[in-house]
Amino acid sequence: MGSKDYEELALSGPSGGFEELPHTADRAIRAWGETLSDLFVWAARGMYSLAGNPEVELRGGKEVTLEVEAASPEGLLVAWLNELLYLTETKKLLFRDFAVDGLLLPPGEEERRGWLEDRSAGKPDHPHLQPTGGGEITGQEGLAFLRGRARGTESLGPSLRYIKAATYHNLEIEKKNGFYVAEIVFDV
Amino acid sequence: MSEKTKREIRKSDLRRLSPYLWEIPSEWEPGMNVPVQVYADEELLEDALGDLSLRQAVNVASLPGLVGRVVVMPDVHQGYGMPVGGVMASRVPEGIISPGAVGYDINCGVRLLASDVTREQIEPVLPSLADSLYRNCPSGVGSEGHYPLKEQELEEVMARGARWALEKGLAEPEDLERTEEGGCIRGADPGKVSPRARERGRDQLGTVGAGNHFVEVTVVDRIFHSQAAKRMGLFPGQVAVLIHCGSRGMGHQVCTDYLQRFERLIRRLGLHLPDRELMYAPLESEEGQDYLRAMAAAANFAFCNRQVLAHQVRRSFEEVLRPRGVRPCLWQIYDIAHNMGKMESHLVDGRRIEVCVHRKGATRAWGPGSPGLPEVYRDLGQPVLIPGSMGTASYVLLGTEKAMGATFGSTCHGAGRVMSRAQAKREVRGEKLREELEKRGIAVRAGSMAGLAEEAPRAYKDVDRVVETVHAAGISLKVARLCPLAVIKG
Repeated sequence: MGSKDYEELALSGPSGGFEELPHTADRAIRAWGETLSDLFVWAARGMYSLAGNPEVELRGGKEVTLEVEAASPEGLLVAWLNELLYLTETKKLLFRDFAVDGLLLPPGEEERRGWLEDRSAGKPDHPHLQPTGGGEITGQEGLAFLRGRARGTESLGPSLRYIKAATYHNLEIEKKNGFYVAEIVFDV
Repeated sequence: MSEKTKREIRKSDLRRLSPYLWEIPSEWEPGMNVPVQVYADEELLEDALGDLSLRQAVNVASLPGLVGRVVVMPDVHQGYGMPVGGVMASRVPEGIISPGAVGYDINCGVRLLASDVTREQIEPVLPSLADSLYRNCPSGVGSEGHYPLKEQELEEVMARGARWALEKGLAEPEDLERTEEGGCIRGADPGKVSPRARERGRDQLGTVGAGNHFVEVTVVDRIFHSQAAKRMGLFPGQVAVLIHCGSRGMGHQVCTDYLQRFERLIRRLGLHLPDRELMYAPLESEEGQDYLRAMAAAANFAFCNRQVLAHQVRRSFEEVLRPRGVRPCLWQIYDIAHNMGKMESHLVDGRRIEVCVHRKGATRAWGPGSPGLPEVYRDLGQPVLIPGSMGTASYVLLGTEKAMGATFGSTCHGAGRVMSRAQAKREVRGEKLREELEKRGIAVRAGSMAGLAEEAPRAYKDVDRVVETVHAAGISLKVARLCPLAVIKG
């Protein structure tokens, strides 16, 4: 287990949320989080709520570790969600709990987007990666990189709705009122 | 700039070129490289203006290297990046390829099998036929097929498409002749398909999947073009089977993988995009070439997938009808793709040039005499298969010479949604819908009642109206109408 366990995460945060948005043919959500990591966790929760996430026990289940990288924070969000979908399909795991253990953005990315200006004091924007212990950072120079975990149960049933992919459609991560916000369209 | 802050498109912005054709000229917005042409009657145009379809088409029209026009079909609905029901063509070799303008489900398409069985013969055994099809054609999320593949076999499927099935005794030679590209796109390189995409494909050959994909038992109820119907062997009261599905998780993963790779290229080259989902690569770039080879491999997987399902359908007919002393014969009318990027030759501004045609939610509809059509259809034109929404009619059409000049040889692909899935689920109860369909004599086998509700007929446009439009506009000709008897879906 990494820096925090899920029970602790469930009690202390991550702070944020999601809501479903109308879309004619596909499905879409708006997700937000106080930190970039929180946004990623809430986006994953939102995606699995569209899939018809049944109530499962908080304890137990199987845990997987994920590492993804991309050319932008938006690309990283899409890569994280699509990696989860890949694991759902191949490992037959329906995820419910998510944790981001580390997130690296390309140097200067946060300054360029003005994300540093209103960061609330005392709360780091995302957990720093530990280059030792949890494995080496494999992110390439100039790419965004994420290491996270997801836990779920082997409960793919007929009630599950299929999500083919998280898309990049008009995807912009914006910082509004101290929250990172993104609208994500899913191909279903 | 998000779509919300971009200029809104009003009906008055469209020029009416003919009763069924409208145009947004390329001068409408700076950055547009080609005009957008919309096939619709007044009501369907209002539908298209009701969501972001046309805004998305304008975004597409601003991509570099496009020729002619961006074409919008009457069944269009808002998608991601490119609208579903859109066609664009880029010049070869200096043009572009865009995975988002092909779609996640590479070579999603439709196959139609006709049979020598009549409605009267099938009706007494319809429930057992539906049960058998539900068993033989696995559907739903995470469903696994009856043909798990070893790594080497998967490589062969990706390289050879439906030909692999023929060698395994899962196809008739005529099936391949009557499949777009003979069931195998040239230039596929399984080496360009990631281990992840392979892993997703390995157990999914011969599966329908979920969402709007289905296997449907139908009956021919109207013939509009007797010569073509006769050639195809279609007659009123005849039972036929539609198969609608694609490349499953493999295709989705190929699209996902290459969008990620293209994003790095876009960033490296500092290119501006009207929408991130419209990421593209120059056709001549390493990224572009690799995607084309991987896309072809996924497309071949999809051709083979529908072929294996066709075999399973034949098996179900045998299982159910043999004990009653009937030996059913099912022959293929055609198999078409409606999510593809294809290298084709077209007349543009009076000159024949090579283009990369992107059809997303649009069907190839080549006219009479086009090379690559099977002998049996050469003088007629290519058969086009238009599945309706669940419980409504489907159509067999023919491609036309007019389509070759006006739409890069393309037409519509279905009914097109008008209601969101969430709204459909709120307003329609799956169980109730099933009851209604069963009351009308349509057998329904579905894994998910919520999924059934999302595909409710009233969430879609009227397919008859969509087909009337392409027929009246002359980009396809009506041949026959089919009505559902049984629906099998995830």
